[in-house]
Amino acid sequence: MEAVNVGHTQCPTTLSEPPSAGEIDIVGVSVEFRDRTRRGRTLTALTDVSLQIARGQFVALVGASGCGKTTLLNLLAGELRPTAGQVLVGGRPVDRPLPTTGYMLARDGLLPWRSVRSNVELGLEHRRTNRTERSERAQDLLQLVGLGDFADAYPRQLSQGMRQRAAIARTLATEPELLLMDEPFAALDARTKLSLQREFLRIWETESPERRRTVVFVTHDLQEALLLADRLVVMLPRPGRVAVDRTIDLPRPRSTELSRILFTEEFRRNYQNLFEVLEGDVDPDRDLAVEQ
Amino acid sequence: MSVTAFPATVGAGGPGPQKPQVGEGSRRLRGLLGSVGGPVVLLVGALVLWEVAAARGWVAVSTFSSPSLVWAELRDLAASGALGSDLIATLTAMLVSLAIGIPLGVFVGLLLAAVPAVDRLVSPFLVPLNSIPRIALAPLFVIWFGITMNAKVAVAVSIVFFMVLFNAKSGIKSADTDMMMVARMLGIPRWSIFRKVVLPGSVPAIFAGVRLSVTYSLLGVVATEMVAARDGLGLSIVRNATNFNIGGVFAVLLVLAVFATVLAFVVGRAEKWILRWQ
Repeated sequence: MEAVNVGHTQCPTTLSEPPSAGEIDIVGVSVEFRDRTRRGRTLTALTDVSLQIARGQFVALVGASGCGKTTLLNLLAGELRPTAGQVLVGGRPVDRPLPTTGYMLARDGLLPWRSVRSNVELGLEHRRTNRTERSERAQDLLQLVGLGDFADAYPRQLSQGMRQRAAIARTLATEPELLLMDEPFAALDARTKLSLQREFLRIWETESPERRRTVVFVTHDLQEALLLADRLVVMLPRPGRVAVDRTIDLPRPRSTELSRILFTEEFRRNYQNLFEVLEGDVDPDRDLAVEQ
Repeated sequence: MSVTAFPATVGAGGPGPQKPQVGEGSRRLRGLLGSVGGPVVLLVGALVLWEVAAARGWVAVSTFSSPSLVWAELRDLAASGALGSDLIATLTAMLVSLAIGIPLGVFVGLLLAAVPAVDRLVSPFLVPLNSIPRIALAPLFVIWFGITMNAKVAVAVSIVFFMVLFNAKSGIKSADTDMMMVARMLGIPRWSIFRKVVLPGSVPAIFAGVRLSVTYSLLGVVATEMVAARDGLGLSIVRNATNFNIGGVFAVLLVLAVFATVLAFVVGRAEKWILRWQ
């Protein structure tokens, strides 16, 4: 059923062992913005963040708003330059959006005047492909995300969950080796969210571990992060920094096990422990509330 | 209806299929009255009142005319061929002004939205220029272009151009940031992002400008014809009015109303088709 080719066909072949486009090395990165409300002051979005991510790893960045997780993602996307430090993807500093990187947002960003299929084809139109090839690839991907029958529909005719599925298909169409996802399921209701998490994980886990894409998944939902990721990076705000970096040992494939995993003791313990790290910094009334 | 029909059936003690049918029939009638019948009744009522008022001398026929007189004038105008040639003259000037004004407005609107330097240079003049009552330019254009179609077209273009320009510019500027971000991340080159994301996204705004343009280009053409022209419905109105032929004035106004409504309908249909994804 997985007819889609997700191989690394775009690997450069100039060096004997080139670093994969799915490899990430963030070294001592800080990002400062000019403060618009107070002249001359700067806002520190990230301070001295270092993070190494191996190819094929599924990393979740978790944290409250303002902790710099989207800033970090935008650095990786090439939308932003660090004030200090280096952001390397595939061994090179990122200075522009890379063709081997895919990006997904909470909002689908589908073009409403294009059919669903044509939206999926969008990223292929500038990569030596012909019309039939594009159309077939799009159809295969829509099949993969369960939208095979909706290829000719306009986005407005789809539910929010279906639109986000289409966005997944569009993101996968260019066969990215690195997937950057900025709260991709945050705008969905709880049930749709779970079904899309399951769906996305199924697609990602279909590949053998050594061929999987690298995923950097930003979310404020701790449960989601624990369910999906291999590794969880908790960030704290003011200034944005990495507080916890932990491996999640749940076995894979998990896509069919999600609802069972949710109620395991191991999951609960992890959840509680990380919840305290995450919310302890955010909620100063926590101790008071416990005493009452 | 059904509320009264139901107990009546029960009271009759047997199945009465006729009763509900009556209820349904009158409901259908009411529906028809509401959608088409109502306005028709209103129109006919107003015309009858006007006719009676003119016949009874409640209003002076010489200044207010009457429906029957207007109808007679309309038939005369049509029969003489004057109406046809005036209509064609007005329509032609209007279509030419749209054919020039819309592409020009779209082009400059896109240019100003895409090149901020040009926008900063030009935009301080746009609002003052657009606030000139364009009819006031008609004498100037008549001197420049003579008493020709070009003068009418120039006035109409000066209206259409700004209307489309402002809409096109705001349409471009309000481009969806998520869609642009997605397009950038898909590796689409800048020019293609403009062509594939920004431009199609501004079509609804541009169409809003086009819809207004159709109405206002007619205004520009007719007004110029009233200032100085050899032909056209505007001239026809002036001619009839100076001869105190009020029936003739109403006849031309009626033609203008029908004409403008048909045009608005056509544009509305085109818009619906082009923006069928909405």
